[in-house]
Amino acid sequence: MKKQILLLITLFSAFQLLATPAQDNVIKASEAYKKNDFAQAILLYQQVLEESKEHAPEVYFNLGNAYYKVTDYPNAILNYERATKLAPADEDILFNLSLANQKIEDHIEPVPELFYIRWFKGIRNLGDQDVWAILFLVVFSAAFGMLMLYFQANSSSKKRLGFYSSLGLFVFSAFVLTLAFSMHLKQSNHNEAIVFSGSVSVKSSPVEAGTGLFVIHAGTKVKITDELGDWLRIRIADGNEGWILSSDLERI
Amino acid sequence: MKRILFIIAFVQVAFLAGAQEIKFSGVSSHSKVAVGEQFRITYSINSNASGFQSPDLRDFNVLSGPNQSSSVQIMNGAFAQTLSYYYILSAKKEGKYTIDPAVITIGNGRIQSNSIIVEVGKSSQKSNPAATSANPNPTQTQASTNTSDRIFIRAIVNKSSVFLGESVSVTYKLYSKYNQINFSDLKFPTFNGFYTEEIEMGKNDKLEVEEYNGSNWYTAELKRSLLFPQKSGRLEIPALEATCLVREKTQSGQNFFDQMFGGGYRDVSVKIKSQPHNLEVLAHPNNGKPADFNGAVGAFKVEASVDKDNIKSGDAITYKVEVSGNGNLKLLEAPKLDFPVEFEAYDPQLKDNIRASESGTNGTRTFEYLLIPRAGGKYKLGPFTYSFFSTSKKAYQTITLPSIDISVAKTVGDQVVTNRSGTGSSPKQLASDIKFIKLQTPDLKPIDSEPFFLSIPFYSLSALPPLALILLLVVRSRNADRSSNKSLYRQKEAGGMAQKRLKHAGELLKTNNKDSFYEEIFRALYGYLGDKLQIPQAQLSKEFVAEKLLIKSVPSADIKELERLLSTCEFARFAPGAELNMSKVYDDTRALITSMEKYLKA
Repeated sequence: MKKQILLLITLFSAFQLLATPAQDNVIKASEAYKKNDFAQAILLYQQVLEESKEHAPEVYFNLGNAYYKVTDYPNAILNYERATKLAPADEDILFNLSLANQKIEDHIEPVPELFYIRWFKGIRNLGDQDVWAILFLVVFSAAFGMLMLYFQANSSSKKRLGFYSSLGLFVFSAFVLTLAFSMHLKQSNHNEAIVFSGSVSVKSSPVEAGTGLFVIHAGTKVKITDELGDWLRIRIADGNEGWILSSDLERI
Repeated sequence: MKRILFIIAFVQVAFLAGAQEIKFSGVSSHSKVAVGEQFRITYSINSNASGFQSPDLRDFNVLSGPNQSSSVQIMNGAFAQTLSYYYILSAKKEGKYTIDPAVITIGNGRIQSNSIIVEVGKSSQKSNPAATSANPNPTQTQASTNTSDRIFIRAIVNKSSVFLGESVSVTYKLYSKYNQINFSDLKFPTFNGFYTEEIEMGKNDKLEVEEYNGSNWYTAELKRSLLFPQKSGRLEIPALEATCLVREKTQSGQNFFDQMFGGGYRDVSVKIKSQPHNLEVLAHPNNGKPADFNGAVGAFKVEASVDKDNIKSGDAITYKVEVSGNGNLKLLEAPKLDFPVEFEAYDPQLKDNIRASESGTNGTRTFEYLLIPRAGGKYKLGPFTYSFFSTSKKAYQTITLPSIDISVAKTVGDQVVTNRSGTGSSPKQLASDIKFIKLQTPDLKPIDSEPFFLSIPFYSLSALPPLALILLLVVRSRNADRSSNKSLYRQKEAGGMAQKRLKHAGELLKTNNKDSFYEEIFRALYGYLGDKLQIPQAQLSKEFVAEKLLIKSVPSADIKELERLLSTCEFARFAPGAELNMSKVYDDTRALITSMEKYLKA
């Protein structure tokens, strides 16, 4: 009996020590990358994503790096974009993404955004949706705490403090909730994509015979605004729109 | 050609031998020519002469000339010499042209030839180039059909398949059964897709005899080139075209002279062309291609050296890379070398010592990098690598140039400059590369895992603060209820309470404890009224109570009685000496409370 218990304990601790196959693959992939065996690294990272169905921003980032090293820039950009989606505040990812974007053919001048939208996005991208969700819970609770102070306090100065600070905290929590929602939309929508065909003519209408409006090349990021069968209506960073076959794209 | 002139000269000598008079004459091969047609004009003199002055030939294209030939003939003891100058011309435009006389100097005198009249007609499409050959003999104008079998050009290519940048030599060689050939037009081909290097040929104009396809031919090399393909795929080595004049023997002599000198000849213009060749050019393999490979193909030795290794900052040194061997030396690009950033590096200078031969270009190409160190210290130049594609091994080869140590002494001026420039310099950005991968073990989550935001735990947690507030408010209001119940209870019990106090006062009356008695009476009254009317202790005053009682419609007699009793109690408490009927006060109080109870019950 004692022996059996001992066996169980050792088995249990062995399971604790053993990494999951996915973690194991990540470690092996990083080793391969260090040895400049990028093809092997790509294979292993892909296994984590496709077979184990597990992900983390680091996995996408490292996979993007491996693709960058074998000069497959569209795939590198795709994976960097996926990494920023999970970890929007990571500067390494943004840095490598901007380098990869310099390597591709299209350099589209984006339409400048209004300053307050830029500011809002700048603040929003400091954290992912769960960070904002937790911050919201903290601020929201604090606001109610101050409201309780207002109800319970004997002196009028304390009542005033409770009232105004709870009012301020409510406004703040609403703002944080907006950030969380905005990030939630960004993170859960799959309406952005990377062009994978070497050169694609963007049509004026969703038919093969449509007038070619402009040409975009592999690695360019587009926003999907509509869908019709195999055709997707896309918008590029400078605001130009048109139709493209969904097989030319890979969604982020 | 000489022979023709010889014949002409001989004919002239034969007829004019006796006269021995000096004659300078010009003659055209054709009196009528078509535009573009070639013809020949010849000026002959039967004496030793010099200083030939060319006539004005502006109206014609001079294809060749003036060419000079001379012949000497001794016959029957007589000495005859003929000197002739000839041009091959073609007419530019239609019309009738008179070519002015040519002038020649004999001894001290000058002598003029006759002028030549040439009529130029429309160019005839039908005219066979071979038939319109420049032929001084008007009787021989037809070319034989088998001329092209007796003369041709071969393009000899030494390889049929090469790598990009590998040399291939091509030789254009003339094979002929005729031993006298005059080229009137030689079109050298342009090699598209190749870098071309001419191979110098010996100045040997003589025809050599070579056996080819079972018979002997006169051969001459026309052109020898070394080609370096610049793009992969199938490239064409173009043909060489030439038009030449050959002398053909006629089958039967027609006149005395022909028979006498071994039969008749005629000159025939022949167009000949070599066969174009196709060359298969292979691209360099992609696998194993070194990063620094920039198109060097062949077999090379590479060495690096510096002229000085101990210098002062600001002095220049030369870093020399010498590539020697066989290959596309002339196409070698300077290797891109990363010198230490403290060194100002200038674009390298090229020095060549290259010879082209059929096996390729041999020699050395030297790249000289001028470097000026801007700061003192010890530096290493290199190690650098140089890669090339070896055609013999069909693989890339990389040569490592060992590093060279350079020590640079600081100069005073150098320091002044750096001091003046101010606060030092930030590290120089050498190159940009992506950030390295993240090595920490990631926190892997299933791809389809839901975020915390908008999940059930999130909703429950955000519901907590409002719930807490509600709870607080509920507790508060229940507390408030309980306190209001207390006052109701006290209101109900007020009568009983008053009776209790009065009972106590009765006991005090028996013991004649005055102070305590009045105090108890006072308390019984105020306590009763306070509880009944729900007035807090602090607000109890005679006037306020009276007011309240009036509202409750207590008769004014009772109110007056109350006021009297309260005054009595106060008086008794603050003036202890006064004699008052304690039992009357006791009875009156009992009566008053009983009376008021009726009104205040509701």
